[in-house]
Amino acid sequence: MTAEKKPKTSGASLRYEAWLRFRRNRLAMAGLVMAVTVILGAIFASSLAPYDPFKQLIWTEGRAVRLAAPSAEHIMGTDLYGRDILSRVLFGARISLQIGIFATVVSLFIGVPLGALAGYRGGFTDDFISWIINVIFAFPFFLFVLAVVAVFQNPSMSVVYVAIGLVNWVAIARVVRAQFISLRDREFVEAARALGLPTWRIIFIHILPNALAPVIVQATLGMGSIIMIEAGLAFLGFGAQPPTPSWGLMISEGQKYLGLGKWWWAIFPGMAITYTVLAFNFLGDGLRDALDVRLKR
Amino acid sequence: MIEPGSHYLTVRGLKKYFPLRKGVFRRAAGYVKAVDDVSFFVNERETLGLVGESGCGKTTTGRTLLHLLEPTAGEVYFDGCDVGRILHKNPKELRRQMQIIFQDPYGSLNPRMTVRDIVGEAVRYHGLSRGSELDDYVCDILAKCGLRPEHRFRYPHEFSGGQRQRIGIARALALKPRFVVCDEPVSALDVSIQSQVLNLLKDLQEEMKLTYLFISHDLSVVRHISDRIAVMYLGRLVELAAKSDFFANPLHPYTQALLSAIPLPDPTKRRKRILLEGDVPSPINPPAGCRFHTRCPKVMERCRKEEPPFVDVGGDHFVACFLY
Repeated sequence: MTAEKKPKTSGASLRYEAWLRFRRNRLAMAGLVMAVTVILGAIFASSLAPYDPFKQLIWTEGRAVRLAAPSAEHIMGTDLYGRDILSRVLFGARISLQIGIFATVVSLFIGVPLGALAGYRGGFTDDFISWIINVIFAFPFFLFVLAVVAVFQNPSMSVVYVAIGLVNWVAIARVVRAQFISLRDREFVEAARALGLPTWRIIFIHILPNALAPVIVQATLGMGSIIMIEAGLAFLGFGAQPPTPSWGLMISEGQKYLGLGKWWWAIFPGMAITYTVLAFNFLGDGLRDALDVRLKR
Repeated sequence: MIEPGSHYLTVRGLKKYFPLRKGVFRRAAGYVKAVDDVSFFVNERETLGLVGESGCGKTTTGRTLLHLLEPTAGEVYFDGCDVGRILHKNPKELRRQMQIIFQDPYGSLNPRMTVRDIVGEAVRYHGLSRGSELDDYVCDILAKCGLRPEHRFRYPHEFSGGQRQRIGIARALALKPRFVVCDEPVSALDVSIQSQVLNLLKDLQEEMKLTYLFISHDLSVVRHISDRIAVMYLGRLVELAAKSDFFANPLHPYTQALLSAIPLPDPTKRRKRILLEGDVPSPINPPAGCRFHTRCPKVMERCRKEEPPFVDVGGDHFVACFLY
């Protein structure tokens, strides 16, 4: 039923207009470029990285390279085990993005249907789902994830992103619910009902495509916070386990050496986190401004 | 007075109250009585015009009649069937037969769908056509509604108001309905476009053997298209009569006031205008007795206490007034 094969003169032009608005926004473009570099870094980590991120390079050309300061051979230096930090930071992007994407997918899978149901049905259904959302919101986000992860003896990555998704969906659900409440009484939805179309079609084909813009924004902004959460978990030892090149884990391992003047072990992954989170926040804000027609001009 | 199933479409005692929720527990603190005990019938292949000022419940009547809004009370019988009961059991076929054309040509079309999908989606769902034939089916109905086949690939915002209204008409009529609620289908359009769309509706009625409930606040529009006319005031019907009878012999003081407001085509002539004082009372607290008594030039003591029944005063001319 979608017009995938048809010349999309106007659907394209709507999107094109949004793109023009996006392009005028410098911060948004900066966010896009930054995010693209992170993604490219993650995808091509194996060819970009100068060393194997797991290899302990104790001796290179006759010199000790444990905790070596940044130099021409090791641009970001090496850690206590002689591993190249630049290589580990590049591979770390994979971990962070992977968690970010999978946790967002989990959040969308829970948040979109529940938010849609609450907004469309209203009444008791809405009260009940909103109550769950509020309870989860009231609970300290980080503690909740920590508790879920802690239940598992040996947390794998999938446990981490499911745990984050189990909390993060409330933000998505809230946005979806608000959209559905405003859209469900629109005349084109009423028309779909008058045509006798089944409820699932009305929800997914008539309302959802019109509700997506804020969901995309929320999901993008959520990527930033998920990456922060993952880093925090790894820092506390509940997320990625050694020797995984996770940014949070690297900071955790490197922090003891910060005071000893060996700043590069913790600082470079820290910068990577800041860079990535900023990228997604700029991107999310830019998308919000570009997709929201009401803010035009 | 009006027996169920005695006519093509029968509406009996239809009520729609909207609760006003207040406080933490959202208890109903009162009700907006948008439609309050409305009864009428529509004959096969005729147009019943429903007029009244803004907020009198015309639109709510149309929506409630189709069960797009759940009625608070009352029944609707279509071709001998209880609409409410059928819609709860097996809505599909009845939905196909009873359609609606909306007022707002901008809000009533999904902005993310092409015209082809807007018109064709329900056609396919109801099994009227599918596959490669669907495209021809859509082109056919678009042509009937005065649109070109290539329009089907476009999105609603590429069209003018009049064209969008034609798309809305095509969407409703693509299902080959028998009864259509036209909810102010021309009030959002320019006067020059209004007559085009009205004539289109008339032609399609002839061609597709349709029955219309035509809702409007514009008496001249209703006069153009209707066979019979009903007047609504504050959630109730005050008068219902055949068109000629309605304009020649209006009975209810409210109808008389409305008709006196229609400008005459000859600028040298003046009609004696009946000016109504005050505003329409709130539908939350409608006046006791006759709802019109606060503004009626012929008000009597009885009107303040008793509610006049909606009765046939002869020749299917219904009126709710103690004068008759």
